[in-house]
Amino acid sequence: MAVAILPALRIGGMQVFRMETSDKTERVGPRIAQVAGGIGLVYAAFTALTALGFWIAGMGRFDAICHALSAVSTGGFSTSDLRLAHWNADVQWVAVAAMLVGGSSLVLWTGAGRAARTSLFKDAQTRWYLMFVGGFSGLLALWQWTVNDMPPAAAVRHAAFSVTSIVSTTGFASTDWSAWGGFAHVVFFILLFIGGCTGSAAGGIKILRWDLLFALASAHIGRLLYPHGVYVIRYNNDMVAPAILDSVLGFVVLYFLTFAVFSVTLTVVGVDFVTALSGSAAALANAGPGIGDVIGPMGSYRPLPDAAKWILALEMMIGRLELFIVAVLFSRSYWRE
Amino acid sequence: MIDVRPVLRLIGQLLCALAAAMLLPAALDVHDGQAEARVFVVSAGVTLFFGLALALGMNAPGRGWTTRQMYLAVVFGWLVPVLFAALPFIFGPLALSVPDALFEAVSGLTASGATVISGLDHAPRGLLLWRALLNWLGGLGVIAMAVAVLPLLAVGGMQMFRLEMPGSAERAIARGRRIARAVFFAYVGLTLLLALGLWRVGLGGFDALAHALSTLSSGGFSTSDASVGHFHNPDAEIVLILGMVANGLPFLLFYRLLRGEGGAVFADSQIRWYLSLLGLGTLGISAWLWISLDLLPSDAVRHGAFTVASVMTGTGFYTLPYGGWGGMPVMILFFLAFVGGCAGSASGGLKVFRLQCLFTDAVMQLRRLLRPNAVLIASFNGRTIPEDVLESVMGFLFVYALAFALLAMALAFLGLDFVTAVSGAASALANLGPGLGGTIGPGATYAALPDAAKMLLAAGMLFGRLEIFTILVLFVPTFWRQ
Repeated sequence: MAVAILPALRIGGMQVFRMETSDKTERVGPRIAQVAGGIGLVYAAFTALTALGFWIAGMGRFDAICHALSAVSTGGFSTSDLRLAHWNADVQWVAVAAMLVGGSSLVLWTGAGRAARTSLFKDAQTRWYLMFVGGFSGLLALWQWTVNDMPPAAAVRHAAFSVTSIVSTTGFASTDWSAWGGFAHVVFFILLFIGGCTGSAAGGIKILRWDLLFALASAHIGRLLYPHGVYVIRYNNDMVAPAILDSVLGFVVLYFLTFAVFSVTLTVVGVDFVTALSGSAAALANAGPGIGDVIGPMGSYRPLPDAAKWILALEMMIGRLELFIVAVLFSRSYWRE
Repeated sequence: MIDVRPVLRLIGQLLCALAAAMLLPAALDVHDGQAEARVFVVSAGVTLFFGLALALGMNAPGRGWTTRQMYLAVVFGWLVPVLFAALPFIFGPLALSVPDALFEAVSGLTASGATVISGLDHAPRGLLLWRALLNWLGGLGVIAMAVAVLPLLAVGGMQMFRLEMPGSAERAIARGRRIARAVFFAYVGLTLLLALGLWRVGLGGFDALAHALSTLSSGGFSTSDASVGHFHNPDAEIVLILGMVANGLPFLLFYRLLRGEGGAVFADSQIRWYLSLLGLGTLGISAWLWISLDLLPSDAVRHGAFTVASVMTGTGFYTLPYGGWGGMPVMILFFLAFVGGCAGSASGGLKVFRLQCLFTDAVMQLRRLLRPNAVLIASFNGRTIPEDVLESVMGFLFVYALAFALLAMALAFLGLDFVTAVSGAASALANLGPGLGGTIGPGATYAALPDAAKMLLAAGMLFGRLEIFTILVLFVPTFWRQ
C-alpha cells in the first residue's frame, strides 16, 4: 500500500505518495504499475524465502508459513503465547533477517534486482537503518551481558531480535525484555518512534524523516555561525525540495501531536501512565507491544478497558495511513467538493 | 582567534554581582546569630577576588560584540558563576559533596528548582535566602538572554522576536537602553509586588520574600520540604498562581504595558495560546481532582491551576504531591512540561511560539493537500513565518527531542527506572524541577540518585536553559577558526 494504493486516492493521495517516497532517487511516478508489480513480486519472494528459512531452521510447516506472513509484513502475530521464545535460536535468527528486510525499503530491492545491485547499500536511509539496529543491538547486548549476566551469545541474539522487532515495528518477542531493567525500557520506548525505512511495510516516523530532520538541525547550526550562508539539504546527493521538507515537518508535528492527544485520551479511560505512554507510541507506530506489566512484550492488551482498545485501534489506523489521509477526512472542504 | 577579553570582563562583572548577592544571606545570618555567616563572607571574598581580577584585568576595546563572543558570553556566563555559587553549599553547615553542591547551584542559577537538600524547614535562613537569590539572579539572566541575546543570535527561530530599531544607531541604542531598563524594573517591581502580596495574605516576611524571588524567575526553590503546601494558605496559593503565570509571559509585554499599550496583551496570539493551554490543562486536572480525590470544586480548581501553572512554566512549586496522582493528570503534566511558557519569558521548555509555528504550518500542509494550487502561508501574529524560521524551529524541536532521548537513555543506563529516567530528563531540559514517580517526584529530592546522574541532569538543565544550540555551536570546529 505504501507504494501502490496511496496514489490511487484522488485528492491528496498523490501528494502523500510523493512525501512517502520523497527520496527522489526512485522517480517512481510515471511507472507506478511496473514498480508496484515489482514490489509485489519482491514481497512474495521474501515471504516464501522466510517460510523456507523457518522450516529449515526447525519450525513446523504451518508455523513457518504463519510466521513468515507476519514477519515480512512487520505485523507480528505469532501462533504461540510464548511468541518466538517457543522456538530455537536458528529460527530466531531467521526471524531477525526477515524483520530486517520487512523494515527496509522494498522499492530498493526491486532496483537492486534489476539494475544496480549496489544501490541498496549506497542508500543513505538503508545505512542509517542498519546503523540504528546494529548500534542499539550492540548496546543492549552489552547491557544484558554485563549487568544482567546473560551469556554473550544469547545476549546478542535477544538484543538483535528485540531491537529489530521494535525498529521494524514488527512486535515479535524472543524473550521478555521487560525484565531487563530501566535502561531497556527507555531504549525501546525511544526506538518506538524511529520506525523502519520509507517504502517498507514498517510504521513509525521512518528513518528518512529523521535523516532530513537531522540535516535541518545541522543546517541551523551552520546558519547560527554564518547567517548569510546558503544551506542546501541533501539526501542521497540530491537536493531536497523545500516542499518535501515542509511535508516532513508537518508529518512529524502531527505525529507527536497525535501521540500526545492519544496518550492523554488513554489515561482518561483509566490506563496508567507508563502503559498509556508506551501503548500510544506503539499503536501509532504499529509496533505491537508496549512497556510495563500489562502490555509488555509477553503481555497482552486484553486486560485494558474496552474503550482503551477502541482508542488504540483507531490510533493504529491513523498511524498506518500516515496521519494525513485521516486528517484530511476531518476537514470540511474535503466533503464539500 | 576570538578576542575573549570582553567575554572575560563580562564574566568578571557577573562574579562581582554574585559576590554582592552573597553578602545578603551573610547579613541575614549575622542577624540570626548563625555561624554560617562566615561561609558566605569568605565565599563572597573569593568570588569578588576572581571577579575583580577579570573585570579590571581585561581592558576590552569598546567595539561591539561579535556573534562568536556572544555565544561564549552566554555559555560561560552561566558556567563560571555556577562554580562560585556552589561554594556556600560545599563549605556551609550542610557540607554537601561537590557533585551535590554543583547540582544545587546549577539548578538554582538555571531557575530549575530541583534540589538535593531535605530538611529545609530547619535549615539556616541564610542558606534558604541564598537558594532563592540564585533563582532570582538566574531568572534575571534568563530574561536578559531571552529578550536581547537569543533573538539576535537567531537561536531556534527566535529571530521572529528581534526588536525592530528604526532610525539612527544612537536612537536604536537609546531605545535598547530604555527597554532594558523597563524590563529590569518590571522584574524587580513585580518581585516586590509579589512579596508584598504574599505578606499581605499571611506569609511571614521572610517566606514571602523568598517565594517571590523564586516564583518570578520560574525557579521554584521553596523554604519548606513540602513546598507551598506547607503553608496551607489558599490566598497565598492564588497569589503565587498569578506570579507563576506572569513569569511565563514575554517580559517585553511589561514594557508595552508601562507605555500604556494595554491592548498588547490580547493582540499577541502567543499569549492567547499560552493562556488557553493553561486553562485547558487546569480544566482537565481540576476535573480529575474533583472526581477522583473528592476535593471541593473550589479547592480542585485552585490546586489544578496551581499545579498546571507550576509545571507548564517550569517553576516547580507544588501544593499537593502530584507524583502520586493517577494516569490522566500525570500524563497532562508530562506533556505540558514540554510546552513551557512564551518566548522572551523566564520560563523553560520548548516555548509556546515554537509549537504555534509548527502547528500552523502543519495545518497549512493539510489544507494544501486539498487545494494543491492555492497559495497558503503560515503566519504568526499577522506576520508570515519565513521558511528559515520554520526550519530553525523544526531543527530546534529535533535537537530537543534528541537531547531528551539521549539524556533519558544515559540516566537509565546508570540504573534509574523508566519513569524516573524519562521524567527526570524531561524535567531537567524544561528547567522544571521535580520529576515523576517515587524517587524524584514532588516531595522527594534528587539526593538518592548516583552522582553521575546528578551531573547529567545538571548538564541537561544547562542545555535546556541555553536553548541547546548555543552550547552545540561551541562544538563546531569552524567556531574556533579564523
